Amino acid sequence: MSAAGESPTPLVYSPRSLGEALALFVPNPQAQLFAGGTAWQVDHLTASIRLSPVTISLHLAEDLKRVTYGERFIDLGGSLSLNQLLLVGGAWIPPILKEAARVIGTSALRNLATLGGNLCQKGVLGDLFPPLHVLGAQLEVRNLRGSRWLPTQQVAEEGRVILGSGEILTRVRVPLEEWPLHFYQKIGNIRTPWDERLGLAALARPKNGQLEGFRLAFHVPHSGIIRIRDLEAELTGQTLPLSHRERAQALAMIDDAIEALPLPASQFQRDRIVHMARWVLTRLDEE
Amino acid sequence: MKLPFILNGDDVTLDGDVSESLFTVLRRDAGVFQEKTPCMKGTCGRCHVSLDGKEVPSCVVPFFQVRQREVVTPEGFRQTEEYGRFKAILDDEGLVECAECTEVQIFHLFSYLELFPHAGPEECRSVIGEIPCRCGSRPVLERGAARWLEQKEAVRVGRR
Repeated sequence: MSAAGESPTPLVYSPRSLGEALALFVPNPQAQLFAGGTAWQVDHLTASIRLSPVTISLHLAEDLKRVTYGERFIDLGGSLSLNQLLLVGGAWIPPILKEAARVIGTSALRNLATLGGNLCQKGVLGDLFPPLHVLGAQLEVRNLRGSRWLPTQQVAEEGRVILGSGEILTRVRVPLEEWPLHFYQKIGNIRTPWDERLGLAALARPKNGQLEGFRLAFHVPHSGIIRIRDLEAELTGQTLPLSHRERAQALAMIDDAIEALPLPASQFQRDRIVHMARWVLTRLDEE
Repeated sequence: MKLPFILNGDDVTLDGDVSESLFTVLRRDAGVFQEKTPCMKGTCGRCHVSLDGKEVPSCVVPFFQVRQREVVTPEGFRQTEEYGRFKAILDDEGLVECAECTEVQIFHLFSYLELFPHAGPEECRSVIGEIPCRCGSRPVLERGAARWLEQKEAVRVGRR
């Protein structure tokens, strides 16, 4: 473990393991975690990075970068960089997650940006959340006393990953189910105004002219996640192509869900959500 | 805060503040990136370096993270044999150097192909497009990337 700097200069710790990182929260309960650092602001006047007074940088904690394979799931370490996720996870990573990771930043930024950092940004869910949500992933968070699993449904309801005192997101468990069709779209990026950003993640399993499984989530960054279980249940088992009535009903349910968002979606977002939903339904019909 | 690390193959110890970026320290104390003004958001490519073999924007990497690690700048990369071979392919494909982007593009593309040696044409096109420039070198870089990967693959198969 190494420490550098003295107050009022930021105090930075670089633990070499998860255990060391967790232990550092005991004397420093207000410490902020520094993962890839790509979302931290650079002060343009001083060309320095605005660090918290006490920062725990996770870049040396190798045990947080592990990938483990189970029979029905893959566990991805919280400090895995996005490029590592694409490389190490290889063929095991669900295509929708790969696609979402590939369109984040540039390749150079993806060498720094981490899975945990993407999910635990201040006040907002990262771009990897919608695909993880439809995949049914779970997030493991750990502190010195133990660990707990956060289902993505809970995270979606809370609007962000809420870490308790001294907690670190240690791994993400992604179920390995077969979804022959996936849909991912992202509009805008971290620097785009809130009301012009949007994300879509959907999975579908058509089989023998029927829709055997279907999941759909929209991410409206300033407001939350739209996931309509009733719509998913309604469409699951339907014969393809969908009837005009079924399509209209699906779009009406999405419209209702937009209205129910805690903070209203902009007209731009409403238009795009409907456009994306139509695109998904049309693609299903083509199967 | 004095930190030892390897810069372009040499052991160095540079002095910087804990919150300074690697770019700031390299520019001030190592004399690199003198003629460049990066975006400071990590997206323009002008400050990219290789950190332990992986390309990163040095403007968003805090200096404290380089302790005992290896940094290679585009200037250092130009001294390598691999650069010479890659550049020869690009020259053969008709690369005309753009003052704005060529140096950055070569470093960026080479780094990506090292990390993803099975990148397909679409992937290469997308990666080349990450560096913002309106010059016409992109098709040349795409052809060069394809040839470079073919060559590497031929060497790999030959070794089996």
